[in-house]
Amino acid sequence: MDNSNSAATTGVWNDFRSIDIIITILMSLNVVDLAVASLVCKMWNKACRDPSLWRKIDLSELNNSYLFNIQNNKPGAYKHSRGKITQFLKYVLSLSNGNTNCLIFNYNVDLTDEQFIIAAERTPNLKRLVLPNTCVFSRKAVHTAMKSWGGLESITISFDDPNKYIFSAIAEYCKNITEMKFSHGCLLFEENYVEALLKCAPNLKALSIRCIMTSMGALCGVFTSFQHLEAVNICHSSIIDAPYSDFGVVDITYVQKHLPPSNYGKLIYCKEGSCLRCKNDRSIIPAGIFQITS
Amino acid sequence: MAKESGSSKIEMLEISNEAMAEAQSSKIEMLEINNEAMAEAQSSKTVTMKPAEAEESKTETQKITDEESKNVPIAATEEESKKLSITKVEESKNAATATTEGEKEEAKVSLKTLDGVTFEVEAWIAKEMETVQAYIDDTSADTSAAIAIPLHNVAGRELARMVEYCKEHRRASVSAGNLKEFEERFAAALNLYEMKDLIIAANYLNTKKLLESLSRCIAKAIKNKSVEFVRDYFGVTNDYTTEEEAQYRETNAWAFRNVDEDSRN
Repeated sequence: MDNSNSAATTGVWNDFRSIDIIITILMSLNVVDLAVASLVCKMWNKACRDPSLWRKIDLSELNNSYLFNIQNNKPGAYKHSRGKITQFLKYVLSLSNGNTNCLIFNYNVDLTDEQFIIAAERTPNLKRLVLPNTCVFSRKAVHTAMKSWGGLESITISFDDPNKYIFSAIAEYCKNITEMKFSHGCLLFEENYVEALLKCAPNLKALSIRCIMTSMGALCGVFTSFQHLEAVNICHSSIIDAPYSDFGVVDITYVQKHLPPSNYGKLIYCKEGSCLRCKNDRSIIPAGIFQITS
Repeated sequence: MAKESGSSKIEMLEISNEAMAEAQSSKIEMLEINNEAMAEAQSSKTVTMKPAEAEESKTETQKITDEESKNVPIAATEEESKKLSITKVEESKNAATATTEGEKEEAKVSLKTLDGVTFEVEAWIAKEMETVQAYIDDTSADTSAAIAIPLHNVAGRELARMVEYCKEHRRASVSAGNLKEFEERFAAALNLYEMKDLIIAANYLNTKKLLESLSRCIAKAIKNKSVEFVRDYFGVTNDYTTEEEAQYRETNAWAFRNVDEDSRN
């Protein structure tokens, strides 16, 4: 569709009264484009407020937008756009009108306390949260946010310290957590993580420790500690015998030796490029390094 | 005397035999009456009989046949036989509907557009148009086959394009690459007027694949573009007042500052 089709003088879509069709078109837009579309005219603004468009807000789309001039996907890349992002967050979350179930922060976004609290207060019905890599929020901000997100069921964390106050905040305010995911930021998932997890999410059903280093003791601890556990994702993880020992890739038969047979079915691991990361061919980690052999 | 006594004995025996026969027949009659009473008791709730009494009233032969009937796998009771006959009827009905469905797929459906053009399309194409399919489901098979289904909001040009899309989509859907290429070609051939009319028709007929495909193409045209570009592109009149415009430009400065030249062309 080239621009020669432009209808500038004709007003071809002015008599376009079916809001359903506009909503169907808007379904294919990301969060930034939706916000822009809402400013076109009153009818488009009304269409942009439809709850079905706001079930999920993926702020990683900010990367691709000319509006924020973010060239590189690097930590701290957002610092120069802070004012813009605060403004944008407020507007987008007013359009969503509290209908958001899933909020994904950019992996490298460097949010301020104010932005974090703005997001939390305007998404009270949140079920799934993906936190940014650099968690530099104050204790007060974390507790304020988690208080708003009392109904959270799933959370993805991408930082190193299990003693961070986020765990105590989750334990205090979020009683429905059944899914925890640890992303690339973690250095090593070991026993102290299991203890922290047990305090904040005793009813855990799914745990993802993909693409990170994990101790065998921690993995065994996960299976013995959580009664309701249904799945543990260890795709592209490096499973080591002792904390901070030499790096080594352990095959799945070795892992299974340490676990009772009843837990074999709960393990999710990458076998010959079968996982989503392999299928999407993402190059966060060089291919094959963390692949578990069977 | 001896003879007399002998003959009288025989007579007595005969009498007793007759009496026994009478008694036996009366017993049988009684049993029949009892059985009738049982049948009545089963049918009408006013007469009741204890199971023990019913069991006592049965003859030995009846008891034996009852025992045997328990082991017979064929429907012994009336209820079971009814169930069997019902399932047989249902099976035959299902078989009949299966054949009619097969015939339906072979048959064609007539569609009449608002400008009076009648199209004969394959049944599978009609199924893609959920509004048409709903019409077919609501009317009897004979009626829907006999008459042309009226499409009040769709012109002939749009319907022709939709039929073409359905056929091409089916051919292209062998591989994902082909499908994407076909959808891009299909959209590129349309100007904005045609796209608008076609998306309205697809929405009215609820042709999901086409509706989604067109929506994606239109969305692609406004991705990463400025507010002014979107207005220009669609010829949408800005119905905000000057004050409203000034206010949202201030509160949403992020949408208006540092706009790339590319995004405005």
